[in-house]
Amino acid sequence: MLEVKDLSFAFKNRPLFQNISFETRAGQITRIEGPNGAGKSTLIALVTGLLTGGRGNINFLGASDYRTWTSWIAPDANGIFPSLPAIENLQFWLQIRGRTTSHDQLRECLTFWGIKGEWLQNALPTAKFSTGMKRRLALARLQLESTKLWILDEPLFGLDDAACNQFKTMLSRHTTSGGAAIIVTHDARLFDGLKYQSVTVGGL
Amino acid sequence: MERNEEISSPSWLDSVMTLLAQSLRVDLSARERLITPLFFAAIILLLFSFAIPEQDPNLRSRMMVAESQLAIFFALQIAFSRAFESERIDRVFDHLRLVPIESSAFISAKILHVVLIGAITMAFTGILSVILQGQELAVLADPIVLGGSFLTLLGLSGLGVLLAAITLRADGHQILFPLLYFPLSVPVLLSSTEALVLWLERHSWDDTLRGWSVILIAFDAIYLTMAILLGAETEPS
Repeated sequence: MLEVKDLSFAFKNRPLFQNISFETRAGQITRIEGPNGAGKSTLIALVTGLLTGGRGNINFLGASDYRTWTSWIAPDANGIFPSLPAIENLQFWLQIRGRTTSHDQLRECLTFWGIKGEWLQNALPTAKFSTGMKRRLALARLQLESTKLWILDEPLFGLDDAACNQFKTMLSRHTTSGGAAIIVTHDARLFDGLKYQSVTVGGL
Repeated sequence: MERNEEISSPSWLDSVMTLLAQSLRVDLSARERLITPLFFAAIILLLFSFAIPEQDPNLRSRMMVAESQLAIFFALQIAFSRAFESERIDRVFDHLRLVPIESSAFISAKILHVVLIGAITMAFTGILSVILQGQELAVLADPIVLGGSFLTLLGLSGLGVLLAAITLRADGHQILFPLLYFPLSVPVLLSSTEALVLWLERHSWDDTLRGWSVILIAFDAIYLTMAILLGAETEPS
């Protein structure tokens, strides 16, 4: 699905990482590891195309526009319109991807992620959500987008244990059904019992 | 949940309509975004009517055009500078860059959005200005006045979206936007004001009026084209 070859990046002429190579295939989880400041999020930003200026090759092996089959979660944000309720946020992000999802499916997914009831789902602006609830909403979107490749930077940020376990279950189902994921997280619990390949960034 | 292996991208038009609907939804959910430009325009017009109470009837149409153009100009500056506000929050813009939409669809939706908001502001400003200047409301139904106002709105909207996109990631966005918007909007404002005043005073389609109209249309085309072309810069490379 994704091939990264000899990827290097320098910030203001200071090398951040050099010659990173890995390949993510269907059904595989790739864990990006490294200490704070090593360049893990920079690597993710380069892979998604949000950041340019790296040296090396990044090849998405699939349909021509990789954005149709990839999803991204940012470390410090959820891509949510704060003045709108959860359902309207989900509706927009699915519609803009050309997906049609019924109201019941949206409600079901939100309920699965602990955003229950008419008031929370369809009335309360998401600006009033807690950090964890916003992350739950982002993960609900990820689930509904049902793309093949997930590129996730600290997906567990702000989540409680129950939500972490739910995400782990979702991730396991995703890879079992042929999906792949590239994940940056310092929370090692996520990978307990899961098979993954590790890519270490940093050490320069 | 079933994974959709072959998700087809929405058409260009579907993307534009979805983005436009979302922008309007965000506006309606935060009504101060709609009300602020109207309130600002009303204050400017009221100030003018108090400051210049008595005037030569021949100057009234000129005064009406001048004050409403000025009110619209400042009111729209507020609306345009916030054109990308909802995308700046929570990295919505970055998320939009990673969904399968063409950047020209995004920019086109933004232009349509600001034209719609601008049309509301313009209609409100026009009606209030006509009332305060004691003119006939019928003047607003004149096809040349309507056409000229629409061309003004198009030019200012193209420029507004262009500058909002350029300054999207700039730290000094709030300062940079008006600094660029004020001087660059002069050709649009000057040509539209001259054209509208000439028409209201003479009601004849002469060479001078045609000349100002051509300048207005030319700058509309320049700013709208630049705004749409700049969209390519927002796509991941």
